[in-house]
Amino acid sequence: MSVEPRITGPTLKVLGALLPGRDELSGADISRATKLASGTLYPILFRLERAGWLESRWEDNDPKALGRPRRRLYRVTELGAQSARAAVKDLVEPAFGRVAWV
Amino acid sequence: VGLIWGVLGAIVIAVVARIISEDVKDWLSWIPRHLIRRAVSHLPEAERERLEEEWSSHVNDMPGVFAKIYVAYGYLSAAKSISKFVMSGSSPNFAETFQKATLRTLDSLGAAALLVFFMPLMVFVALCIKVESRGPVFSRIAIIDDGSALQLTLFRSMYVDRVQPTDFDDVTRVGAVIRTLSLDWLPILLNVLSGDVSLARHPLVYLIRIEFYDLFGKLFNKMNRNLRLLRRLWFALRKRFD
Repeated sequence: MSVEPRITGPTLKVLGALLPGRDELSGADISRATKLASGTLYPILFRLERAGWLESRWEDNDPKALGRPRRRLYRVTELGAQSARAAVKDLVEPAFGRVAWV
Repeated sequence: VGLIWGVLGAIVIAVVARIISEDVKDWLSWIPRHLIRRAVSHLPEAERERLEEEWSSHVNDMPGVFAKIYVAYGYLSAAKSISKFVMSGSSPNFAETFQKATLRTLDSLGAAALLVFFMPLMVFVALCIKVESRGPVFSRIAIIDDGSALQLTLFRSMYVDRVQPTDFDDVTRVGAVIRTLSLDWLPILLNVLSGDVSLARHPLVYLIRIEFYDLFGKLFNKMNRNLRLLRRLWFALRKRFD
């Protein structure tokens, strides 16, 4: 199921946290970076992953060796990066007065 | 003897306090786990295992038991939202589809009728814009509507060659008039016709709705005041005759 995700302020925050450097971040890291509560964050991550904008994997270490549950690490896909940039461009351009004339 | 009792009492209090604090600590660490399990139970079967582990790891990363509880509490709404999303994708709701199709048809018919009705006015405005200043008749504005960015078509009300952030208030004379009369919004009917936006979200419809509520709100308040006065009068009369 690939549904185009809704572009909202929190969605942009999540993409903004993941886009620079395209690092892999866990849910807790993204929550810290975006200041989004868990109730808002995880539905966004879920939708973005379903849309193919994000991909995720479990961290490599064994949870028994770590002594804690494994973290799920998220990163932006190529499609996600392109779509996010296009969405941001659409939103930001008119704010700077660059109105598109027909 | 008093000293011995005092020491014994202190020891008992210390032991009891220790037991209570351990108990409270256990209970407090149980709450996030319970909240996660509760949240996960709202999820579709396929998502439960993964999200339970992921959410447990997030809670584990939080410092302090109250922060853990706060994060875990958020999973209740997250689970409902995820579940709703998964359900809406897997089984298309017939009632919703029908409602959408009906609204779309009404929007198209309404927009077409309004476009025909306003066509002479729109042509006149377009001619005024074209005659007064160089540039196209229409301009576009980007908005966020229901979570997606879309471009709406408006009548141009600014000079084309001065489109810099500092010149943003360079409104043409025709532009000032059409903005005052809200006529610059009329071409959004084209967006309605093409299905970008619903007629119910047209700015002019919003304006009419606000006026409507304003008018009826005032009437209602007045009626309510009069009813209260009548009631007071009725009670005063009854008291007098009783």
